[in-house]
Amino acid sequence: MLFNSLNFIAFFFIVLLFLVFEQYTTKRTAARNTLLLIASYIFYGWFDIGFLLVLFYVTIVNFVTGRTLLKATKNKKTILGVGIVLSLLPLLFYKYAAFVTSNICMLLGTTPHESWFNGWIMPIGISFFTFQALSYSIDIYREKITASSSLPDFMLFVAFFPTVLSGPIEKARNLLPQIHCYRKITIDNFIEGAITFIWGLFKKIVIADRLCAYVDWAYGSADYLSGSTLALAAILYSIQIYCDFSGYSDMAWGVAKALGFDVTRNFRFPYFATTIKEFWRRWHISLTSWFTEYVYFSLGGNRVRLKARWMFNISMVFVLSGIWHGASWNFLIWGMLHALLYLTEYSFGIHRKGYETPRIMKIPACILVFILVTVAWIFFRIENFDNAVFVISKIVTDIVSPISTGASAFTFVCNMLLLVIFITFDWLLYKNIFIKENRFATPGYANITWVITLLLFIALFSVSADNFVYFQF
Amino acid sequence: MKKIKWIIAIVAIFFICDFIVERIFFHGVNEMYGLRQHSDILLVGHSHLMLGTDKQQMENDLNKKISKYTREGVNVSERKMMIQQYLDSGFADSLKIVLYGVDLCTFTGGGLSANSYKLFYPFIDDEKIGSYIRKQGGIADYWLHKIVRCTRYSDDGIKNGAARGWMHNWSNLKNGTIDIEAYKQRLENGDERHIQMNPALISEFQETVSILTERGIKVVLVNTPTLDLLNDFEPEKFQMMVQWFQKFAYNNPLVEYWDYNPQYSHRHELFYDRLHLNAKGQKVISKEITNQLKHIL
Repeated sequence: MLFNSLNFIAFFFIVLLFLVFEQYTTKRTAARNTLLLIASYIFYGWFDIGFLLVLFYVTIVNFVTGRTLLKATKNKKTILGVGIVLSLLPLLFYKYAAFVTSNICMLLGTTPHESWFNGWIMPIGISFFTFQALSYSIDIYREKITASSSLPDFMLFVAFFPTVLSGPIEKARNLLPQIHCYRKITIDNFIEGAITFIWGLFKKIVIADRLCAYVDWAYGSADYLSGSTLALAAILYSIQIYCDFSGYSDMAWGVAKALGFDVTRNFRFPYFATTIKEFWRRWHISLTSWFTEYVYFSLGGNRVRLKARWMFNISMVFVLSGIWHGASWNFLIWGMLHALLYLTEYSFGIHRKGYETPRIMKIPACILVFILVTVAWIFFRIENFDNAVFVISKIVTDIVSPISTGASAFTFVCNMLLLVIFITFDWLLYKNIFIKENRFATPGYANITWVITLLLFIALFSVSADNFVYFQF
Repeated sequence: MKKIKWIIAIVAIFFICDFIVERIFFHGVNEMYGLRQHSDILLVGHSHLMLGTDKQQMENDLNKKISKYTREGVNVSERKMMIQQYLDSGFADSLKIVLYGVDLCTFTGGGLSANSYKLFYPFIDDEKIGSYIRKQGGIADYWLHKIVRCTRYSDDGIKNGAARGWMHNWSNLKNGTIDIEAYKQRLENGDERHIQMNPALISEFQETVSILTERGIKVVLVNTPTLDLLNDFEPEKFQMMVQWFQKFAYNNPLVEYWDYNPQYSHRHELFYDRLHLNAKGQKVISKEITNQLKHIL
């Protein structure tokens, strides 16, 4: 069930109806959580009933790890280690086994048998819910939280349907307390959630899915297209992936909010960042925060004696972040590129305390960061390294050339106009002018006009796509 | 209470705007296809006939009203529905002739758009078309387009339907000419559709013609030219198709078959691609059709 499907809208309103009924009758946290847990398992099992086994396995492993850690007086590190390894087993198998095997076979000069990995479909969102569940075990080990005594509550924490497919990766200390206490459904939350959902839906099905057709066409015919067309495709991919993932995250946030939950905002206008460091504070915030807290700090963070060690720690975070996206060399290269950009920026003194991009340099810096990030996205999008290099070299050597519009000039013009409208809306939100993100629930002409405009654009210009880019991760 | 009023206001204003925008588009679409006018001649077919006939030129030369209801990728069943739609519209009382586009692939099942039912979203309120969409697209798809009216229009529906209808622009915008060498290469690779005679499609076609002839409307099966290289891809099958149409017309007093292939299929400069005429080709063929129509009107 995708957020941008009628099935989901119907499903959501049925769930909401049950919850409202419950609110006016029993008013018990356990009843509410049971309803949400059933809904979450139906939602996730809708894709493939077999996926539920993996979800349940990861849940049980971390619940038991948590309980064991709570009771243990010694060997806590070993218990946590076993918990982490057992949790990661499905992820490693589904995501990395084929890649590792094929590379080992390549080194040995053989080829893996085709049937080895046939028929194994990776459960959607496995990287997200595994990391979310792990945050619970690690936080108990670090004594930041205490173990949950209720298995249904913990099951809901891992399977919570607004976040189970593509995050945000919630930390246990944020979401579990919300699950433990009674969250009322209010009209304010519903309005705020609905408007954020509509904004996310607009980004996904009006912007991302329309740009996707152009980007796929351009990268699929890179041999025949001009450098300027490929440059435009690269820029459009940057916007596509942002709108796709942030659109999903906004919809997830909106659904959770309507149910009375506050989950992490995963994006904070990343393309308005003036440094790479700032970009990573604004892009996929929950994953960055997860890696910072559970990998970077575990490696010693910046409290290490040798600069080289710190550089290693930073690089590890980016490399792991790249590999997290998928078992493929292009993701690794993408992670390494970002590590390189981050460390280069550091060497220029941009990361020193109190540094702020001069006012006059803000726009050029913002454009530069966007270009650098866009170049890195080329490696992210194109799986084959040689093809990615070919695209970049063609962009560099043939940038002054006519731009191809793709199959339909009218659609291309529509896309460009919609892009301008989207950038204007995003900028208004960023600057808190006219439309104010933190005042969505406040009735006013600006909000009404904005919402109706979005709905009309969705009705008129949406295209149907049955996937989200980040579902594959 | 204020917040609930706010939600109701948003929903109400949205549906009002949605209705207004859709009505504007719908007017354009009706203008484009001439579905709200009392016409003497109705052109029905897919892109082959769409690019092969110049409605305005024909109207001027004949001094008659013409409705050109042609849509990309529509199959024989959909053409039957399109004719029925016009006949049921209340504007068909003056209809004398239907020019029905045929070609070598009229009875070939595949090749046309599998999603061509989506072209009919603007007419979803028509009972027959509505049930056809529900059958093809499913309940959810049907109700989405029934309730949110603007979703009935894709980019193509806005540009080639609504906008061109409002601008009264029926011109063929395909000015290029086919790349013969590239097409020969394609044929050498065997990359071409095979001609078939699907009995179900033949039956639908015969029913369509009966619906018209029973009302005393003359049916002209127009085969605007297709490229000679395409016609020669499967020459026996092509001849079989031509003979089938000739025989069908011979056996039906109210049916005629006009084939422009012998005269024009070798004139490569008239083709945009192997199936479709360019603007120049359209002018030539429209003139020919007009001259023949003058004899029977």
